Order: sequence, then structure tokens, then C-alpha cells
Amino acid sequence: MVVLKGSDGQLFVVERPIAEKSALIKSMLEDVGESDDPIPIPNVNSEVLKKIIEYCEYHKNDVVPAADTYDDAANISDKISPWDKNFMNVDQEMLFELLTASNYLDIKPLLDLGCKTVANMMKGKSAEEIRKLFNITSDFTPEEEEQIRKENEWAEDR
Amino acid sequence: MNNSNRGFEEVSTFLKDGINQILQRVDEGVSYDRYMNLYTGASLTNTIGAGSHKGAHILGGQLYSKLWEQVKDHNTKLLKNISAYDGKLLLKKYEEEWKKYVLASSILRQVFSYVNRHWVKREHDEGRLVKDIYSLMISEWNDSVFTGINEKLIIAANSEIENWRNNEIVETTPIKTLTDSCIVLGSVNTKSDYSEIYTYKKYFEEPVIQGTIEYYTKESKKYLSSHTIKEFIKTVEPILIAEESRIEKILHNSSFTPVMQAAEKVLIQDHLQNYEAEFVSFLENYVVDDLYLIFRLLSRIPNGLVGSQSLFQEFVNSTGLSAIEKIPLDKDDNVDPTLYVEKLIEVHDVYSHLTKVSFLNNPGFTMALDRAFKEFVNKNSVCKGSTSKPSEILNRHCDSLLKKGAKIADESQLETRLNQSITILRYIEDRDAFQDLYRRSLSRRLVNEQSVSFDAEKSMIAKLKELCGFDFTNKLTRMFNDIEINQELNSSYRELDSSQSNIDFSSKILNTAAWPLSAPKHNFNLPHDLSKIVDSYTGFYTKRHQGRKLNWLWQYSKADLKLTLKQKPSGAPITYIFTVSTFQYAILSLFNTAEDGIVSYASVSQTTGLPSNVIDAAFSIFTKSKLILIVDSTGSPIEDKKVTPESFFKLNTGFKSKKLKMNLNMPLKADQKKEAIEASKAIREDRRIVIQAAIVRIMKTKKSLKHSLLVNETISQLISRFKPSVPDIKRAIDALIDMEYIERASGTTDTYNYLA
Repeated sequence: MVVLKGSDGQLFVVERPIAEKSALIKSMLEDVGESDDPIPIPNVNSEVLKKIIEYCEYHKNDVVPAADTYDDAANISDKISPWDKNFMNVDQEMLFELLTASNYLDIKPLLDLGCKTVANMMKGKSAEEIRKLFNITSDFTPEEEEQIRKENEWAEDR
Repeated sequence: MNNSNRGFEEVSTFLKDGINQILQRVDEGVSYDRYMNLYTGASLTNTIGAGSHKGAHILGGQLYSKLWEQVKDHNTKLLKNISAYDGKLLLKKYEEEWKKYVLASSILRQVFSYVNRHWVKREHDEGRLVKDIYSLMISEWNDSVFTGINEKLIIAANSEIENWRNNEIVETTPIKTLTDSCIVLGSVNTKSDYSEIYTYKKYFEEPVIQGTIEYYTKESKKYLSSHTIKEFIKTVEPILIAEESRIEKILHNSSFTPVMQAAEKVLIQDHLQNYEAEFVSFLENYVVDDLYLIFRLLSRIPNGLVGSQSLFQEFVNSTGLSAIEKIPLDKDDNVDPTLYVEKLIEVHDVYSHLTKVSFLNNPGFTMALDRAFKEFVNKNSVCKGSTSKPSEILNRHCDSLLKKGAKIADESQLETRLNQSITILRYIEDRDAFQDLYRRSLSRRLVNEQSVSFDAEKSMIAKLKELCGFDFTNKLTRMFNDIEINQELNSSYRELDSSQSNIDFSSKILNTAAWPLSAPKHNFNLPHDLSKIVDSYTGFYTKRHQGRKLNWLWQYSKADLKLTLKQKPSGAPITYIFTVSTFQYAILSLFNTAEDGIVSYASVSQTTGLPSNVIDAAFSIFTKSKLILIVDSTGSPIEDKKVTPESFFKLNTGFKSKKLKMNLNMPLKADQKKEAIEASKAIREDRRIVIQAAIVRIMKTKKSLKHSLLVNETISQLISRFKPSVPDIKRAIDALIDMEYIERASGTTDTYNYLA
């Protein structure tokens, strides 16, 4: 058993294989050895950490993907299982917390899932709509914007 | 920008302290807190300035090069520190520092995994060669530590290995760790023409091999100065076995072969001549265990067995030759075939056994043994130059085994002897000569009813079938069938006999194609009583098998003849039985009808039509046994007179013999000789046809072939039957050109074409 400590001090006791879904924790345990001390996760609050542990528990029997597969050609955004889809059915704030945390903890499948979810949200929307969706202010001048639109004309759905 | 820069400075100071602690005191353990804080710090640095992507990227690069500098700094100090040591202390220090460093590298890889995942990845994506954190750490060790100390390390390792070889107690793990570190260092080498174990091979294995050669050269010189080569050889194997176990403990498994080869070269290869000299002396004394030892040692070096194999061949050959020379010959320079075969088998068994126990039936030695046997079985003092002589002696041996009156009563012993004969036959080159001779001997045994047992004959044929093939034994089997059919034939004839003769007649009907027999070359007029039966039998047979022609081979037939003589002083009459040939019978039957019992040579010659040599031989044996007396024309006996065409003969009514049954049917010496000549003629003729057939077969598949290739191919096709001579092959080629099976290719002198 491993004890995880969220940024707000709350403790979570989980089985080691579940904690090791995080490549960070896995290699730390290998390097430093197991002890009873809680492992601090300074960047993740307990609400997010709880959610992540839920994910790891559900996926604990998944086959670990080969390490360092940066170029994941199999990033097909519409292939999301119902459980994962439901799991990701959260507000935007939580969604980005999960993305950051899974990147931080190095949980590649969850990071991928988050990215796919975001990609699905953007799918079929115009730049204007996407800006609105994520609350982004455009920092392009109208001239620059026209230039970019022209360059990417070929990619537009017609 | 200012803000984030200040943040960066702060964090990087924090990181610097943390990294230093990990590098220097990782063996004291790292707490979760420190670990996570360092990781978080390094990650934060990467995400500082996330608002501008470029900024984060630049910071990643800064983090990377700061780490590099710090590690380089650390390693430079470390090298100084390690360099202060020597010998096994150096090895231990190196081991300790290396293990710490590897663990630190592993932690730093994770701490900086953000850099790996983001900055390094991006550099790679943009085509720049940047090492990931772990590789950076390892190759930094290579450049700053290993390169500065590797010479000292290998000297220390080599001297430790030498101590170990001298049976001192040595700590092996530091050496093994050095091996492992070389492998790890090589694995991060990015130069594409270097294999992963290049570093290990060059800086570790090579010097170890050098050390091995020097050590064993020195040691064997020292040992040999006070010991014999025989003693030396016996110490080598344990040394090599110990060396093997050392290598397994301290070196990379790729080193096993090269290091062992180095040791084996010094301890075996360099003394090969001495080994081979000892090998011969062990052979001479038949020291099975020592031969096995030499075999094992020489097996270790490449082509090490070649020399001893040919020495073995020579040795077996000369042993065989001298064993044969020791066999006593009779006054006609002939050898007792049974004794001869026994000697060969003795040599065969002794060295087959040796090949099995000392050389584990190694193919090279088995072949050497075979070659040696082929050599002395075919060319020795008994066979002289004759290629058919080996077959002839062996056949005589087989004949003596299978003929009635053989000394061997035990069936299993007979079987063993027959198997031995097959063993010898396997080595005979001109096997076709044996086949022909064997067929003749078998036919003689069957015709004369002299076979010791049909079962033994059949078992021999089965063995021959395995060795010589179906073609050969096919004829032998047909010969047996004929004999078996004849038994039935004779009894049916007896039932139907219409000749009312007082002669008890039986015949053998033999297929011309299967039997090596031919009709007599001279005239013979059957006596009347016989011709009556022959006519009756011919009638009987042709009725059964229409269209078959019977040739009577009188020279192979014989008769039992009864002679009843009154004893002069009114004693009881005595009946003698003589076994005679049909020719002899014809001559003797003349005395039944002769006037006054006197028969003249001229009338014998006229009535029987037999040539004089047959008549001379018959009378010579009759007069010798005193059954017939030579007389003058009036019937008065003449002493000491030779048989001449003017002689007269008379039955000796005063004939006396202790034996009541006598065999007068002695084969003529001339006939035996003639048969031998006939046999070799038949073999020659047979070979001529077989060679031609082989050439036609080869040319048919190859269509066109050079002379030398054709000759070689022909020899290799026929070698299992006999070894054709090159002039014979040339003659066959010429004959085939004449018969237009093949032609000389136009414009060439040495190529033939097949003519369809």
C-alpha cells in the first residue's frame, strides 16, 4: 500500500500497482524504495487526485503501453469507451486540472484521454466558436488572421 | 518575462542543491518529499512562461545545460578522487562510485522527465541530436570519468584476474561491475558504426585477452621447464575448466569464446605438434583414457582434430597391414581365407571400439577409420596389386562358412561370422567382383547340394541386399526359387515316369538368366540308358511348359554307381558305391558291354565323343584308385603305364577298399582355373556395360559436359560397386561415340554432347 498526499494535505491509501499507473510514482518507488511516508503530490488537489485514483483503479488491469511512445499514431479521437466518456463528463475547469495533473504525474493513457476529449470538443467548430468555448481572446490583427485563413484554406470543410 | 526569469533563478538554485545532494549522497537515500519537490521544481520551470510557448522551451534548454554542467563538475572532482586509488582498492572504489552514479542517474532521469518529454522531444522533432537525460548522464561518466581512468582500471582488473588464476582469493564483484559499466557506457554511444559493446570490447576485453595470452605463455613455459609434455597435457583441461568458470563470473558472455580461444591457443594450438606426437604414442600403447583426453582438448581449437585424424588413419592402416603380413601363407602363397578375415575383423573391432570410446564416434575419426580400412583391405601384402583378390578371399571365406562340412555348428556363431563378412565387404572397393564370385559359389553350392542350410543362405542374401542392392540379390533369390520349384517338379516326374528305367533320376531346371552357368563347350554322346530318361523327361517338361528349351549341362551332373564284386575265396559279395560325374559314368558304362571286359581308349573317345582331356582325367583317377587297370590289347596288366590314346583298359575285379563309398568326381584343376578366368572376364564385360550405362545416364541429364567432369561424375556414380579406371571410362566414351549416343562438341577437344 502506498499513501498519496494531495496539495491540501488529504491522504489517500491505494494499492501500489494502482499508484504505479503514474510513471512518476513508479520510477520513484523503484529508485528510492517503498516506505510508510506519504508521497506528496504538491501540484494536485485532493478533489482532482481522487478523480485520478478512480481512473487508475478502473484501468488497473490495462496493458501498460510501451514507454516513451511520444508519437502515438493511434490517437483516434472518436475511439473512447463509454466508461471513459462518462468519466470525462466534467466541467471545463476539472477537465484542464485533469490534463495538467496527468501530465505532471505522467499517466499517459489519461493524458491521451483528456486530449481526445478536448479535441472532440473542438471538432467541427470555427476558430471563432473555439475561442468562445475556451474563453480565448484573439491576439491576431485582422490582417494576420486573413493571412492565416488563406494559408489554411485547403484544410477547410467545404 | 522579468517575473518568470526571477522565478527561474529561484527554482534553479533550489534544483542545484537538490541535484548535488543526489549526486553526492544518493547512497544515504532520498526522501519522497525531496524527490517530489525536485520533480515539481523541474516541471514548474518547464511550465513557467506557459503563456508563451517559446519561453518555456528556452527554459527547458537552460535547465538541461545547467544540469550537464553541474554533472560535469561533479564528475571531474570524482575522477580526481578515484584516481588516488590503485589495484583492487581502485576497483572497489570504482564499483562504489559507479553504483551510486547509476542510481543518481535514474532518479535524475525521472526528476527531469519533463525535460525529456518536452524539451528533448521537441529538439528531436526538429532534427537536433540531443541525448535524453539518462544517456547524457551515462555518456558524461564515460567522457569525464571512464576515459580518464580506464587504463588504470584494466591494469588493476588484469592483475586481480592473475591473482585469481594463481588461486588467491579474489573479490569478483568489482570486476563484474566494471564489465557491466563498460556495457552500459557502450549502450549510450551514438556513433552508428560502433556496436553496443564496442566500449567493452576495446577497453576491457582486448586487454583481458592480451593478459590471458601473456599469463599462460609465461606459465606454460615455466611448467614445461620442469615437466614432460605428457604431464603438461594432463594439466591443461582442469586449467581451462577453471578459466571457463572465471570468465562466466566476471566477463560479459560475449567474451567467453574469444578469451577461451586465447587461452586455448596458448595451451593447445601452440603445442599442437607435441600433442600429436603424444597422440601417436597413446595410440601405440592403446591408452583409451588419454586418447579421449587429447580428443577433448584438440576438439577445442579450430581444425584441431585434422592432424590427429590423419595420424589415426595412418596408424590403423599400418596396424592392419602388419597384422596381415603376419598371417602365414601356404606353399602356393595362398592365405587361409578364414584366418585372413578373422585378422581383419580383429583390427576392425579394436579400432571401432576405440573410435567409439575415445573419439565419441566423431565423424572425422569415423571417416579416418573407414579410409584406413579401405586402404589396407584393398591393398596389402596378400592381395598384392590385384583388385579382385580381396573379393576372392572373402568369397572363399563365405563359401567355407556356408558349405556343408563347415566347422561351425552353432547357428548364432555362423550368423556372427556372416555379419563379419559383410563388415569386410563394406570396405572392398571392387564389390562387383565379389558379387560375381559369390553368385558362382552359391550356384555351385546349390547345384551340388552342398549348402549347409537354406536359412543361413537366405539370411546372407538379406544382408547382401542391404549392402549391394536389390539388383544383385534379385538373381540370387531367383536361383533359390528355381531350386524350390525343382523339388516339386522332380516328384511329379517320378509319378509319371514312363521310361521304366532302373535309374533313379532327378534334375534341376535352372533359369539361364539367373544362373552363372553355361552349356559344355565340347561334344558328349549320352549313353543309351541315360538318353532314354532324358527324352522322357524332356517330353514331360515341355508338356508342362510349352516353348521352353532345355539345355543339359552335363558337366554339372553326377551319378551314384553301384559295383558289386565277388570275393575270391567264396566270401560274401561286397557292394561299393562310387560317386562319379556323368562323363565318368558314360565311360564306365562302356565296361558293361565290352567284349572280354576290355575297352580301348579309341572306342571311349568314339562312343562318348568326349575330348581327350576329360577322358584322360577320368582314367587317371580310375587307375589311381585301382578301379580300372591299364592293360594291353589281350587284357594282360601293364605296370606303371601312362594313359595314352593307344591304351586299353579293364575293370579291376579284384578291387578292394576299406571305404564302401567313394567320390571319384574330382573337379579338374584346369576347370577351376578356367572358372576363375571366366569370372574375371564376366566381371570385365559387366563393368564395360555398367560404365557405358552410367555415362549415358549422366549425359542424358547434363546434355553437354567436359571430359574431366564426366570422368569424375562417372567414378562417383559407380564407386559403391567398384572403382572404374580412367582408361576404362575413356574406352567406354569412345564406344559410345561410335554408337552415336554422344558426340564431341564441334570446335572443342574436351566436351561431349548427348545425342537424343
